[in-house]
Amino acid sequence: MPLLAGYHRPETLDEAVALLSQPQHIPLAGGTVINADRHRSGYVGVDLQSLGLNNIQFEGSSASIGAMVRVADIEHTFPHDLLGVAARRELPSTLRTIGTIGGAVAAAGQESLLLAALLASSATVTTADGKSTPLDEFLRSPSGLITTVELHTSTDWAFEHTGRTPMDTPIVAVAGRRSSSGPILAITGVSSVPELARSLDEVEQLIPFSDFRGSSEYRHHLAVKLSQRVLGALS
Amino acid sequence: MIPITITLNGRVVTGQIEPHDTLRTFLRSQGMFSVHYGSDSGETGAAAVLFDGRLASSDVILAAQANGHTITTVESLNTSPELHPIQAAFVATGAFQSGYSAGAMVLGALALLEEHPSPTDEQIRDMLSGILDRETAYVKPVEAIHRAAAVLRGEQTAPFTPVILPSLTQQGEPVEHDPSDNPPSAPAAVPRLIPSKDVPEMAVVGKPEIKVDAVRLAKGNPAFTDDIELRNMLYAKVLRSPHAHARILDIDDAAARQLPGVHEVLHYKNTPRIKYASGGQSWPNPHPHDQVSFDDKVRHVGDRVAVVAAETPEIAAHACSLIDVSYELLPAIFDERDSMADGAVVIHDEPDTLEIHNRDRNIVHHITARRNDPDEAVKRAHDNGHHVFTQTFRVHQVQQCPIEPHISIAWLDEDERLVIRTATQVPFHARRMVAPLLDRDIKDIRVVKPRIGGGFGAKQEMLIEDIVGHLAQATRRPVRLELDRSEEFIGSRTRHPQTLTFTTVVDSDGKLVSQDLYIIGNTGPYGTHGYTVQTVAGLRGLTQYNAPNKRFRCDVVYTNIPVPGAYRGYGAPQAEFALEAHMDDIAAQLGYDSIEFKRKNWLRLGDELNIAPHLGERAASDEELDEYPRVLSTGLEECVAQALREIGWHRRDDPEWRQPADRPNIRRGLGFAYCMHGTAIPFLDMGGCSIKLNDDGSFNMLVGATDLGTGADTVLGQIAAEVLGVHLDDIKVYSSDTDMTPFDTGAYASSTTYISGTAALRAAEVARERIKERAAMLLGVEQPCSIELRDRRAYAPDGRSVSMEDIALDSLHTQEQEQIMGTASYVSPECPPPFAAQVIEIEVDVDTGQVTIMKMAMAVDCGVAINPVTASGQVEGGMLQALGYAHCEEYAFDENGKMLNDSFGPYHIYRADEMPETAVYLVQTMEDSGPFGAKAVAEIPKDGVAPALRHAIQNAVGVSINELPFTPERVWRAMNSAVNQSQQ
Repeated sequence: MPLLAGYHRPETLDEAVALLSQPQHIPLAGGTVINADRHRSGYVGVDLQSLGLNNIQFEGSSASIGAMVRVADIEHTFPHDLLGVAARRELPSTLRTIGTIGGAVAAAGQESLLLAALLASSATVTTADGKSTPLDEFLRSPSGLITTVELHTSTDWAFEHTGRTPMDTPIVAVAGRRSSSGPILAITGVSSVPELARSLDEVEQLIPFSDFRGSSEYRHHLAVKLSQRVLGALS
Repeated sequence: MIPITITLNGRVVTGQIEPHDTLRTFLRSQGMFSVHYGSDSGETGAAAVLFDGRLASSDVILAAQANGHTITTVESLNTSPELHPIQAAFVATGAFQSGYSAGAMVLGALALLEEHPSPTDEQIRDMLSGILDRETAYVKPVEAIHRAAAVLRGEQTAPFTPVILPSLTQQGEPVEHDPSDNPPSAPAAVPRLIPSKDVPEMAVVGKPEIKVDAVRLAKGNPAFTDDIELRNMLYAKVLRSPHAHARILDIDDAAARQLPGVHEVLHYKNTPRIKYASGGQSWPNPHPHDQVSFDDKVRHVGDRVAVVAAETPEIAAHACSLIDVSYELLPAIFDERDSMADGAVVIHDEPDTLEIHNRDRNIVHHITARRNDPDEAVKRAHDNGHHVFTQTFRVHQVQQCPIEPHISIAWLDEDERLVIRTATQVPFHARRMVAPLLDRDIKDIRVVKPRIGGGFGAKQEMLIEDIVGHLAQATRRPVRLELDRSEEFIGSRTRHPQTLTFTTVVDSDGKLVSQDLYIIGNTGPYGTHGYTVQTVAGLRGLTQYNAPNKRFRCDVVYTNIPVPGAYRGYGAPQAEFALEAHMDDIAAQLGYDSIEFKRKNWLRLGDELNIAPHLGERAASDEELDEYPRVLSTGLEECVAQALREIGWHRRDDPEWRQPADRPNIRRGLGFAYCMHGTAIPFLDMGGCSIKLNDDGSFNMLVGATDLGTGADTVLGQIAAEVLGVHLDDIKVYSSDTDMTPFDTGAYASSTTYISGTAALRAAEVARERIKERAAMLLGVEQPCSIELRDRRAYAPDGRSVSMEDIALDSLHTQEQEQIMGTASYVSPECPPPFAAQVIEIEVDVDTGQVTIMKMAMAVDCGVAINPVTASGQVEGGMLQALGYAHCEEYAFDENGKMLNDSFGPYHIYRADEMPETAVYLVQTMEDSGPFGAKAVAEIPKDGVAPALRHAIQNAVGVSINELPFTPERVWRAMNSAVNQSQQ
């Protein structure tokens, strides 16, 4: 377990921001990542659960999801959407009820299916200072306390993945959505965060990393092959 | 400290916690012992509770985060002696094996059924996706939840009993598979039982009795090693090596000792150097004795360097970080083939490790066994018109992954004896082995094995008992050491990687003339089970087919990988993968159907086990024996017939099925493997049992056997109950306490039912004879042998009877008082083989190489299954582990020997929501040497999945892969290679 030096549960956003401006203070969303890290020590957790960031609001085909909305609630709220399918696969049942969408964005996992679904859904991230940033930009230079994630919902989506087993974190996965400007692909397992692509040519340009689950060559092959399938389904 | 208030099981609870305290630790401090540790990252689900009504892993929730919330644990259901319907359904279906995650499963079901009173399979499996289970394959928990749902809806459920099926064969002769004959329709969890006419009807044996420990598991009662509270307990933490191979030049522990709360720091400079071998085996432990408690050299990443005992786990961990260790780094070597090469670094260069076969080449053991002359068979093959096939296979390193990690607690009792409460499969071996390390007599040590949360061989080791023993003696306070999940991967035990080369000579009729197996076995840095695992690999690899010429050669070599040891199957899964794959490929090259080719050569009733006596710990020499053991029972052909029907074997040759028109990237395939295992180690494994009669006609049964969750206590109780004519509930089983129970070698080698079961049977027979004499006296019958015991009564031939209670009261209180009891032990001269047929159905994505397992079925001849429900559970769980071995589990290292995937997730084990369909058939045979006809069942399910999967991949996409596991990239590359070769 991490050796937490302190714990706060602020009641307001301002209070949270003030706490987080102090050294060694870090936001504590669900805890599936931070609380599992036994090597981190000496920090102060700022628990965001009382900030009222756990609502989902809809406006037309857009949705605004509070940063503290649990992954399980996303699954239940969007059962037929790319987002819901990705949420279902993001975490097993006993962690899905703890992990949050804000935590997933902040953790920026290279294999996060939820993140890929959000990217493909043209998500933007709003922080406590009121600034909205496209998710892909936010992932490149994260800054500020995440309060909401906005995205476009759609039934026109496709998802392909390859793993060691059916529910293994995919070696490579491709989440795709048809937008008004054409297909949007988000690919996991090829870079430090899921990569956005708008065409097969862009996918072909990727130079994935290698690890024990898949070489760079194999990951590249999967990215192209699965993207072809997603594009085929979207067409 | 932070004050918190939670509503726990309907009661408001307040407490003071540290900021870093998890909800799990807080709940356990409140006496909620059902909440178990599986890992720090929560993915095992063993610590899952209902958090505001939703299933959540309490490992990754801070206690502070829970402040103000409502928490429910399974203890909330324990409002009366009766079980809640969900608990009752789990018990009735045999859904708990070790029961380590029972609380989480029951709570998950509770929440699920509140939301979905009639859940689908998918909903249940999704709920279970966060609760990893290495024991049940999730089959019976799913069935339990369906049955609980029905009960809660007010519906009646039928008793959970096996489906009885007629035999498909006659006199053990093969039958042709009939495509029109469909398999029986029954829930997957229900065992399919094919009775033998040779087996008589019995009252308790052969029945799906409820496990004797079911209530304690269902209620989450404190039963496991950690479920004990001792005052002034200290917590130990091991400092482990970051290097794969290094000499320790110095250790400075001053800073660690000065940390407040630290009570002891032990390492090579202050611990006696006493050599031992850690494998939990019979005396004398095989040489070399190449370990000491703390050495001045480390030989793998994760090796012991030092240990700290402190007031809290956090202080102990902090203190470890303050120990200053100076290392001299040495070259490290990981592949067994490289380790034998000239010039390789010597891993055991210390002079006090004796009996290393070839120290300079890191060869620990060189093993040979032979029948006749395989070299001559190869030499003369050409002249004789015989075919010679040579093939090499490589198998990898995997872990047992018990959800309960290794944990031991030691203290000095009121007589200053050392008590070690520990999660072990071998309590008696552990006591004997730890004694010299602690400079104690065996009589001054008591080892207690409580409930174990899974072992699978990992706990057939004296792994950490010496550490807590040293610390308890040094501090004179209770000391607890629990490995975390990473330590479990790098610091406990694994399966041996091997390189196996078969050379087989086949005559023109397809009969084997000769089989030669050479194994290079990788035992890591320590010998432990290295010798015995490899001999079993040779035994299993060279026994199941007839061939007049056989030879086994093996080099067991040291490397710098985490230490391999015992793992369920014990060398057989490696050898049978290579053997069956080799046989499949020979069949293909000679143009035979694979099963027909194997059938030409597999062992039949009466055939000799012609190399078995020459291999093993008590092996005979290479000299020919006058007589060899033989197969005295086999249901193999029935197993094959049932398995092929279940999987729809005819589809294997159906091109439309194999290549579905609507899914152009998918190819389907079916695979088969024949399996044979052993039952216990002859002339070595021994079990003891004592049984005494109580006032009310019940019995206390004391056994040394260790129930790992397998149902051993239940099976032994059933055997005794059958002999004594009482109900299973009348037998109170107490096991595995070195002060209290008879000796037993331990739970390994598929021995418990056969060895300990025979001891139980014989002890019960001793008691029965005395009961009959007392009954004859009470009934005025002259010949006690005419008395029959049944239904808790003793019957005279004329029908008069006296109850067991009356016999007990008479014998204990009334006249010629005596304690009726029986004691017996058993060691077997036999090792009757169970047989099995494993089949598997898969889909392969030809674009990606991804293999998806659609279905697995196994038909097992385990003699008479004493309890068909627990036996089928063993098969289901064994297949799950075997599937992981074949398909997805694999240690990965960086170039310095650091494990890259020492956590669940990266090291992927199958979850409930991705398990294929399964079916289990129990084919009865009567094995006269076993108790009520029983043979082993626990290990044979590990043997067939890998070769059957390889066979199915061949069927689907035509590629042959000689290395495990069958990962997507490996299959993709094999397909690419095949395409490239076909284009050349």
